Amino acid sequence: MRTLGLMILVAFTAIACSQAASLDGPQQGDLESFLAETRKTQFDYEPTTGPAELAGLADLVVRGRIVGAEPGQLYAPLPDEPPAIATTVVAVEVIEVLAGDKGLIHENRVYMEVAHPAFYLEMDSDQDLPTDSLGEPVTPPLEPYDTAAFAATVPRMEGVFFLDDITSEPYWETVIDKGAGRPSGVPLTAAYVEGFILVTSDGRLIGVTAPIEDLTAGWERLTTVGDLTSAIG
Amino acid sequence: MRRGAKKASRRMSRVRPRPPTSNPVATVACALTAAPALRPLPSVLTLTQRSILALVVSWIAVAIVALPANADTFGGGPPDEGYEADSYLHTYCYGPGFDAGLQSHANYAMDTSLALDTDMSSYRQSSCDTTTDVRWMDSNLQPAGVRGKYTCVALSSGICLRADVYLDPAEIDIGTNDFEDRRKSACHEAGHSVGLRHGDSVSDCMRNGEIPTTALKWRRFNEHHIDDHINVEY
Repeated sequence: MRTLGLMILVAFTAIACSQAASLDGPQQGDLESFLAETRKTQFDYEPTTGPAELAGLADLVVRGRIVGAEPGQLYAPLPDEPPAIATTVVAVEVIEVLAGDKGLIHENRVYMEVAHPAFYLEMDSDQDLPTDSLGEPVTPPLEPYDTAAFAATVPRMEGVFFLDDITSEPYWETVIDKGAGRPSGVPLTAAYVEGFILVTSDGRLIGVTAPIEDLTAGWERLTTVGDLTSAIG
Repeated sequence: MRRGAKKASRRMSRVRPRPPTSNPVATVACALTAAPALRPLPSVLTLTQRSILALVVSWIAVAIVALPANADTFGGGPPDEGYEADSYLHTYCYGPGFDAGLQSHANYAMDTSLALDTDMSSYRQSSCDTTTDVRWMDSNLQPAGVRGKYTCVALSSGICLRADVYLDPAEIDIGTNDFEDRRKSACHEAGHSVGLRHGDSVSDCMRNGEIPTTALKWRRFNEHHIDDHINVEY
């Protein structure tokens, strides 16, 4: 009986410790960097009740594997202003079309844009920055965002992607390096905030832009790809 | 000395370690749970009692692990929260081409939702420069469904020195109550810029998506966000 008690104890300890651990698996380094960088941007978005509703809104829903990432277009708010948004284009090899318009697929791939600031600065520690007359710190000049470095962190993992066709929906009309990051003339998509979901080697789901555990109840209860595809219907 | 200037000076000089990626509460729970397994339990307990005790301790540990998912944390950065701002004084500007129809909503978020209701102050600069805390922009944000977004563009040890905040009026105006909805999204992004987190269940402007009613509370921060977070930090 005592042995049984200890076994139960060890089992619960293992569960607790597995939750305490950070992301694991062979993609750990890349995945953590990728998530940390992607989640630096936060959204006020219209939440859905679950995968079925989002699948109805999305132009295309696929299960696929990320096979590449390249620096993409930049967007400027006005023609004579520097860009404010830079992007990386993530290529996804389609395994299965779950819903939507197959016309967005080119040679069995879809191309998905991820946005970043065009200029960025991260300092490792507080520096003795000079201040202005209001006491506000004067930051050093921002540097062009390193999209190539970000692209290198994109994990080559399987996932489920709820995609919006943004080929004709630029952030602003001023587009620099138009068409960059994907073959000429190929449609461009973006994953919905709730609909950028990666699958770890042990089958766990990870919400990239927004963690699944922070979403509405219809998303929270999903734990496997099977749950997700079943919920789409 | 200006109100809060001393605090602002102190904040700028200290180093803030980034939050650990592992869960410290869970780590403690692991240690608590594992401890009884490593040493004999008191002999006064029967084997059945020991087993029940072990089970209870395990469940408590699991419950503790689950707590942080629902905790209302602040200033830890994405995915759920904005980074902390550099001081109580929150300067802002209109970015290039910022929609005139959105300017009053940005002003409202900074001067009323933040500066009037909390201990923070705001100051609108005539042009954006290297001291600006928040640059307001408008854009056709992608993908569909995105009404606003916050991105820190200058980060120092977990403190955001400069941020870009975007509003998408076309997206916000879907549905009803457009005026109040614009104020809500402006307030929401201003909230991220001082470190507040998201919430679909919170009863203020940090809720995601369209406002359920035109009640004032959806355009302001609630008492908890003000008294337990903003006014404590700034």
